[in-house]
Amino acid sequence: MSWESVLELIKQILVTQTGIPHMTGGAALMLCVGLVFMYLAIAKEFEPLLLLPIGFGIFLVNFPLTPLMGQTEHGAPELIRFFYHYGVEWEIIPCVIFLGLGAMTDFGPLIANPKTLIIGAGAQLGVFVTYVGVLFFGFTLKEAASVGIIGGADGPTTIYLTAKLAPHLLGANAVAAYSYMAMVPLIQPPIMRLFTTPEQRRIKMRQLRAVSKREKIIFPLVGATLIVLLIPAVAPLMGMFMLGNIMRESGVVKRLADTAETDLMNIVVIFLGVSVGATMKAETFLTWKPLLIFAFGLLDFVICTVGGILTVQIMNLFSKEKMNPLIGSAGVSAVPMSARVSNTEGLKADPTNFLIMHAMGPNLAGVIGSAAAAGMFIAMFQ
Amino acid sequence: MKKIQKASFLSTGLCVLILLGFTPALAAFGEDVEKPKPVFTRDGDAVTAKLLPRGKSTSVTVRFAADSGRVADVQAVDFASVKDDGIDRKDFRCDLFSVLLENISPGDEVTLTAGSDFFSSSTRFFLYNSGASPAWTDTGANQKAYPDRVRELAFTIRDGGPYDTDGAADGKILLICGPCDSFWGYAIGTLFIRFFGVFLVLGVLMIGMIVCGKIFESAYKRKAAKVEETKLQPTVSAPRPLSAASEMEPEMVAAVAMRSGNARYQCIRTEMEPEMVAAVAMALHLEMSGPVSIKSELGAEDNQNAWSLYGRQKIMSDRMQAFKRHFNA
Repeated sequence: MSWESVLELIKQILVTQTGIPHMTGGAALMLCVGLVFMYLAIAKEFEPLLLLPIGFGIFLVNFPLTPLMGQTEHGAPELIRFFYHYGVEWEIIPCVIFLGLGAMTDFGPLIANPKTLIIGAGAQLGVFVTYVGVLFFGFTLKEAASVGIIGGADGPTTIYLTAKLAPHLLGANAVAAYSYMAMVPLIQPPIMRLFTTPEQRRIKMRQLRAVSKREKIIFPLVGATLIVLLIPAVAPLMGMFMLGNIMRESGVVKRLADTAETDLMNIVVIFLGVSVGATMKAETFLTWKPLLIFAFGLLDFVICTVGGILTVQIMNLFSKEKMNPLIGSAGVSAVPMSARVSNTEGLKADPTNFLIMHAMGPNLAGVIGSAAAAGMFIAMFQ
Repeated sequence: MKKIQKASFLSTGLCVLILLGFTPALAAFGEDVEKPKPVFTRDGDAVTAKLLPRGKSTSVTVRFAADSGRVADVQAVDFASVKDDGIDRKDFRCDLFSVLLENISPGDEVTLTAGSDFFSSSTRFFLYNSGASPAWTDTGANQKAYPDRVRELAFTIRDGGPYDTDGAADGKILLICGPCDSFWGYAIGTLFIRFFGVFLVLGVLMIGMIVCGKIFESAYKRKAAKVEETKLQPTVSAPRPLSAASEMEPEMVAAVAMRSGNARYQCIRTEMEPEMVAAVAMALHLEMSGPVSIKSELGAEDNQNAWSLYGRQKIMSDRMQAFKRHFNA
């Protein structure tokens, strides 16, 4: 073998079998984005359960020639593509997460005060306003719906809807949704103060009635029946949610409920995080759309918060027993962060006014409301 | 919390800066990701197009047929290849079709029908001819609705007429046409319907829950009345039913737990340090059972002392554990 052929072989190996010559500016930038996410997760502990796998997914998939998100010569999906295909494209992971969330959720405050469901509906205002807003910026109807749902502040619902309607926006939508959910304590308080008076913030609400175990067991059955009858499109999400909840409340399948809320949840979150991160390849992510999604996501959160507060204000006009409008902001799902924010703001106005349990009602209603909004969008495109 | 806020700002700021800084090299915005790609099948003299229109997740069919002659060929036409002339391409969710009609008597008129369950009562059918002025014409197609939700749009076209693209009375008509619906009308209309739909769904759920709650409450009241009745009977000296715990204030439960050492309250004790339970219970017990003179000194019941406020805060925080999730939803 001559030196020329050896050199040619080395050159061929370098060009075709290593990633170095294929490295692009966009890919390098995305590697930095991945590193930033991992830094935030590890050093700042900012939503680490999701940002760490998402960050690593971005980091890994943006190296050139990696056999991760493509298909083999024989048409079989490569590793992360496999997770993405069966977990996200087949809509399994968001539904399994809803199962776990159901197993974690105590619907007591919502059952004790069902009126708060209306707040959960009012807090979806931003979802629909954003939907129209992004249409003006050239988004398609499906893209607009998937961006709008960010304001519902419900991670799995956002992922579920986006994977169904606009999978190319999955990375941007998921990151925007989780980022703003973590920023709820920052975004909501100024809006809450702007749309309420000091007197309104001091309104004390009556202690919630005790809710029996039987009522808690009946709730997932009644809830699933009514919601699925009215919006069949949301059956996968709501069905799993209510299944998780009935497992928890019945108390007879503690092992299953424990598994759903811990081990199973942890497993799917790993695959979800990596899959979502892996969708953020430079060529699909580096466009104007993610930038607009981040901007509209923030606007969406703001309008949803306003919608929740205004709903309480309107309800107070017709009700003898006044509600503290601060609990309206908890209608934007983001359980339990936004309920805590309502409580904190209430305590600032009156240190003896504990709103946490009252705010949990609209908070849980927000979960149902955002799933209902997602179901409405899915049904719209059927 | 401050750490999270700072980190959130940092992440968002970084993403925005990175994206802003990189925008010159970004891919083109507005890529047509929903372009319909119809598949055509022949059905006798008619041709059916099966396609996924913009803003839909399920495919629809559009069936083209003519009352005389034969639909020889139907093809998809890219909207980018025609002049807009003030027409909003978003209104054409199926894009455009070129339809070739043959075996017509030269110069004769033909009625073309396009039927689909995708059409609504407001659907119009437009013809395009780059050589005509104006290039776009609303055919004013007649609508016919069928029981299976299919609507048929029918309009007449003359061989060699202004909208015959080949322009000659040669027994062939070539049309460029497409169904049109107001995009913004649909988007805004559906916005209101669906937003109020969410209210409707949650309202129905609320009514269902209120009804269930009332049924349960009345059942519990009846049960409680029965218990009261049995208590009043002198022969009965049964201990207080344990189910009453669920009707008690958490503070009272804590106080009772301390006094009785009842195993039913084990759950409370396991969640809190015993010393803390003792302190909270004692503080609350003193607060609640204190002499009237002390309470009046403190003012209204809401203005409680630091001890009881601390106790309530502690209890509230511990109740929060029930809602503590690993993942925000």
